[in-house]
Amino acid sequence: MQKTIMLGAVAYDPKVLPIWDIIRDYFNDRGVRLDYVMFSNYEAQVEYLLSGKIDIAWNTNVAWVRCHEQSNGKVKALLMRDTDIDFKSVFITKSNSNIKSIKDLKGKKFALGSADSAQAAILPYKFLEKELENINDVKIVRFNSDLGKHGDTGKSEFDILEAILNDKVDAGAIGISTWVRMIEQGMFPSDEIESFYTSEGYCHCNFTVLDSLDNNIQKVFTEMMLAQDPNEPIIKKMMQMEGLNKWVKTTHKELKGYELLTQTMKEQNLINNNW
Amino acid sequence: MNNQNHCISIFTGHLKPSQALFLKLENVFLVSNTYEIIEIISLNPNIETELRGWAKIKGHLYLGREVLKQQYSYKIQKITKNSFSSSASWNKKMKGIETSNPKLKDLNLSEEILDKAPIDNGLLTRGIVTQEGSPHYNFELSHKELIWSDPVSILYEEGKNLQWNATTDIAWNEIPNLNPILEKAICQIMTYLVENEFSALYIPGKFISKINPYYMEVPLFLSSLMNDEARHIEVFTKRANANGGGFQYSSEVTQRSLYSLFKEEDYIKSSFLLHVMGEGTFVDLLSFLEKYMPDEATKKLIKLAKRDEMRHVAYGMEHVRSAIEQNPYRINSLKNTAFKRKEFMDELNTESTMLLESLAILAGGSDEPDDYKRGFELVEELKKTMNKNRIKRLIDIGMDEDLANDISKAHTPNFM
Repeated sequence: MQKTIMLGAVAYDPKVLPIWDIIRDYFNDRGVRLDYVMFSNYEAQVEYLLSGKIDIAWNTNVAWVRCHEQSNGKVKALLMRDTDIDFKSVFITKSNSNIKSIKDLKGKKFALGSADSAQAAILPYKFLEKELENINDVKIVRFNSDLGKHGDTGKSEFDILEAILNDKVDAGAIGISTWVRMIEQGMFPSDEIESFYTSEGYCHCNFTVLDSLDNNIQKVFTEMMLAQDPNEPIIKKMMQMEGLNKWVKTTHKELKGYELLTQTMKEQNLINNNW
Repeated sequence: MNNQNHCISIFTGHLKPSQALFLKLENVFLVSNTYEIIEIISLNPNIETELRGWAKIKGHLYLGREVLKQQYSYKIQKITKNSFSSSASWNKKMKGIETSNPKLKDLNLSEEILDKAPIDNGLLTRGIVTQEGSPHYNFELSHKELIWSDPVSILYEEGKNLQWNATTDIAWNEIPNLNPILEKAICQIMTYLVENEFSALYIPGKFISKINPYYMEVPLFLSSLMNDEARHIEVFTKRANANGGGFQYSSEVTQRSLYSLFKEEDYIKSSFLLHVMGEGTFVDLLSFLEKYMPDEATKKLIKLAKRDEMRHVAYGMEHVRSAIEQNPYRINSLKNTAFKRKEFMDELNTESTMLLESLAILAGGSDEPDDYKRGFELVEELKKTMNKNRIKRLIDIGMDEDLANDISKAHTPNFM
């Protein structure tokens, strides 16, 4: 294959560079030319994919929904991380707060993360709406940070934790992976914070392409990613940095995991960038 | 795998989702096998979100929760590849513990000592189980035949038993005032000894970090050897400065000889030149010095240093002997090494005149012409003894007599 596959990814952290260097080298060492472009935000990446300036975009779920809706469904999701499937949002509070379910949030301050984060803002708002008779019973406090990164930096979620610890809010919404990381790294005094609600599962990131992309490129990219050996030290390192154990194909079943988000983004008028 | 799906249970009581709980989980999963099911028995009814989330991130499969009598059973199946290729040992008690005398040789770290260290043996040794994905150090000296010497464990114990202290074990205040000519000769000899001891300290130091610690006895012994050499440097320095003299001169030929030894990059060749040829010859020199030193304190420090050097020679002899035994073609390369060194030294073609005169004055007792002449003859005798013993050592490590003769003759006039 002579054409260089051009892949887009968003630089949400300095570690993103070594991740894509490893993937680029992996392809190049095996005779497939691949290069990457770094974007500072997902909106630009979506625009570049839809206008054919890049071949593949490493998209968040929010970016995927936008690509899908803005292109009238003329995009395809090829692959995702095992950890992107059955992703959840978790609501957390202080253990001694008497908040044991969403109903207990009436009259309380509830924190949402970055407005473009599916796990910390967009979907949690939807879950609150579903469980509460009137969403206005809860005082929503928003922690917008790193807009354009779709919550990848996790900053707003850490801000929420801090606000709960300092009693500035009563509870808040974060993604399950951030929650596990907070516990694992001992980011709050033992037992002081607990979860009281776990959402239904949904899907997170995927590699998105235009339907019109050369089938051979789609096939080669998918097969080579799936062939990566997680036990090879350099691959292992990349997978640890990128937070996966293995790549998996995005099938019809996984695509269902984006339905709720699509519906919610339509309701919240988020199909086009509005910030 | 034998215990596929075998269920391991851990009891976590009231432990909530916390660093402490996740740490425990991490370790249970680390040492379990792929597809094994780990059951977490907890008093907490609602830690499912966190366990499921943790399992997902780690690539394991959360199987579900069951209510037991006042307890809850959460099950997670390990899906990821094993982190260790084998289980660590247990129920081991080394020999010698009952008698409170456990020696290095009594360690039984592995059933056998492999000819080549495992590729993943990092800064650790036999019996320690390495986690998959640990870095490969690629130690240059990872083959047993390149470094091993059978008596190394015994020599290590001997080295510890025969440690001495250059500050307190020598009767420094009993060194008598000597004739300045004699004292100066002794100071020159001490200067030369210090130079040579530096080579004996630095050369093993150059190789020790290249030796795979799978063969841990070797670096342990070499570190004790280096400690011996440090003590020798200390004691000879003190003697040079003990009696109104001080350090004297270093000759170019000595430095050139030590340099040719120092720059050798091959461990076996270096061991051959340093321990078999150099330190072996040095032992004869020390016997000579011990014999002719005029005072007991200096005799004693020479004697103690010689005892250490003999241990080093024993290590090197067995090391090179077994290396030759494994590969007889090595004789050729050792021969070439010795001749190459001679060629390098021949550019100067001289002996350390200052040292030889000092040795003659020491052996003769003064620089009076008759004493000096007698002393000089004794030094010539010493060289013959050195040559004879060198040949004997070369034959002992597996060379034939003719070759031993040739190589011994090619040895540096600097002795070391």
